[in-house]
Amino acid sequence: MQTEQLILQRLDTISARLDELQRGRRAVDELFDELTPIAREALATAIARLDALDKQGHFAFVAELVQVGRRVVEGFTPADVRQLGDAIVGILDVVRALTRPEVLQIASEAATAMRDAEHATPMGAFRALRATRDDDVQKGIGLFVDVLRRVGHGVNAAAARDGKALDQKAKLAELLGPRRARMLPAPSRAPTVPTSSVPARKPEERAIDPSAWTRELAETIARANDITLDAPRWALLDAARADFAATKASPNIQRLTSIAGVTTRDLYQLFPKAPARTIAKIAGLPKPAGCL
Amino acid sequence: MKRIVILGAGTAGTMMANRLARMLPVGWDVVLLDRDDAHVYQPGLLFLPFGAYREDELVRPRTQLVDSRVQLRLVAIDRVASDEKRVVLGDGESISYDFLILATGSRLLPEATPGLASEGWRTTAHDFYTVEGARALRQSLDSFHAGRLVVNIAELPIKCPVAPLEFMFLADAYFTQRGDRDRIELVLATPLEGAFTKPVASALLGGMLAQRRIEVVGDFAASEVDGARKRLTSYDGRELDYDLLVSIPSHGGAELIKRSVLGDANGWIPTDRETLAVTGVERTFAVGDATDLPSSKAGAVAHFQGDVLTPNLLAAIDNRPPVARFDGHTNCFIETGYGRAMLIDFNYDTEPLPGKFPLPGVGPFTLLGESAINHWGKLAFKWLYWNVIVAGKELPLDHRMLMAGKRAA
Repeated sequence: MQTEQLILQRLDTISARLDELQRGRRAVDELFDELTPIAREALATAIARLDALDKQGHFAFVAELVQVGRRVVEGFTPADVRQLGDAIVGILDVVRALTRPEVLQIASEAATAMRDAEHATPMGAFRALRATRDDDVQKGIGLFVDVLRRVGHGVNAAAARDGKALDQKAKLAELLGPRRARMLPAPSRAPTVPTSSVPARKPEERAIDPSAWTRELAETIARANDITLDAPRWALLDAARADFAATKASPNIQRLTSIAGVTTRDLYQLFPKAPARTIAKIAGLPKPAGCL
Repeated sequence: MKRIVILGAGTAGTMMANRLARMLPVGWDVVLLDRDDAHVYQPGLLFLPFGAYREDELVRPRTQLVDSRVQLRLVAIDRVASDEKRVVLGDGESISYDFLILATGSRLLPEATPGLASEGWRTTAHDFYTVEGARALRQSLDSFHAGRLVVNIAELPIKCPVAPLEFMFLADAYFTQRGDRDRIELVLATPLEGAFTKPVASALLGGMLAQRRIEVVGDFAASEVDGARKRLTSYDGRELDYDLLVSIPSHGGAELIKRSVLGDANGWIPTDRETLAVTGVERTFAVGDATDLPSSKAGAVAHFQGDVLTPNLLAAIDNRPPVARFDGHTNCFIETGYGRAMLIDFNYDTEPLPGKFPLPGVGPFTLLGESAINHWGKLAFKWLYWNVIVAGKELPLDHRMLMAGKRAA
């Protein structure tokens, strides 16, 4: 009696556990079902947003930035970067000075003049002298001399710091490099793998204009492929064209045997080389293709 | 009680049964018929010959995969009497239906290539599209150390059109890692013009085969196999000698479709390419490999078709016109060996294009390019298959192919 009781109790416990497991599993299933429409919305939104960014060129831009980053990393040693770090405050000061509105205005005016360079009036010495009567020109000359003075000062200060005694001409030459070196072309870039290359279509992939096909054209193409079109061959061409019109896919060998009621051997007898492809070619259809 | 009968409990049939069981209104039964209890995860068969999966990982009982509300019956089916809206079983019993879904799939027809399935079959000539075939091929590959291995696609259409290419890539990696790649010649003989027939894929991937020293013989329609001499012959008289032949045999529709006079000469069911209704037969739909559609015969395609068929069937039940249109969308991982894979995404109108999937710019999967993440995706697909696709759950993805994330050609 007692054993029976114990067994029954055990069974009750097990049954209760199974119910628990069942509930737990159902909860997970329900969660999955609940989440699916939400996930679908979220994914659709994500795809739309990312697609917009993609079309604006963000991802292509980042991909190129990565390339630039790579080149910077390859072109500069850690020592260079350290030197850059030491000088960074000075560099940023210069940048800050350069980007002040007044400076940008000056640079913009200069750029405009240079852009219109071909319209600049050529001047001889006398004309140039007469031009200095203009207030703006005088101001420009004053500014130019000021710049020269500061550059010269900077060069002298640097030479003094290095403890080198350099001749003015030699100093300038060192800054600018020898004439020949100045004529060198920009450093060549390693050829990059095009990330958005558009592969050229092979010549035979010219898009076929289905409306341009005529039976006479078929005869011509057939002759070019050493085929004379007779009744059984025309039957195949007509079957292929009808099938393409219905399915928008050119029939392969198996499909041709089905729609035209012929065997594969018949096909090869009538069109000895690559029958499905040849039939498509003569019938003005795209060649039968696989998925890839 | 009204009844929907589904023939075939493979990927498409089981998926549809599970979906409908959840979505049909009260008063509707779902009956699912198949002749055996072994559901095979077919994408895994590619890996069996290389020892990467065990057989028991790839096969599950059909009974374990169906919703409890589905009436699964393991019986032989004789034919469909569509005029009388009933299915006749092998033992003569009839099951009447209000709507019928044909998910009878495709079958291998090695006997369609004379000589293939006779001398040498499963010793020097193999297929890996069945469990027995993959198992036998595993033995042969183990002891194959030198000579020419020919992979031949007998005829199109086939299931999973990229699998022959995947096999070549895996074989190249397998032999290389084993150290005898230099004594082995790998040849792909295909009835297509080449390994790649689409312009963008050809341009981007053309070098892949040369790089791996895989030779391609195009326009090769196999006419017969001489198993004794180990020679493969094509309809245009070319001969290809082999030491080991891996054949992807001709495919055809299920025999019962022929008996029911529902398919074309090869047993494929004429199906509307957008609504999935069977042409000229009332209240009948087709899904998966069984159709004559130009879309690929693949599991992902069955899933996307299911997203279209379910609402269309529910609309038909309400006497409304179809609401969803299938765009031929296919999404396939292509194993390329060495822990990498490619992903292709395309439909009826758009060939595989490069880019990122599913999130533009982010991915994580790369289209028409090799990556390790793609390979992990292919492996993870097995979980997705058993627990989401076959279970008839929905993926949070539009069933249609999207151009988002793709770079147009």
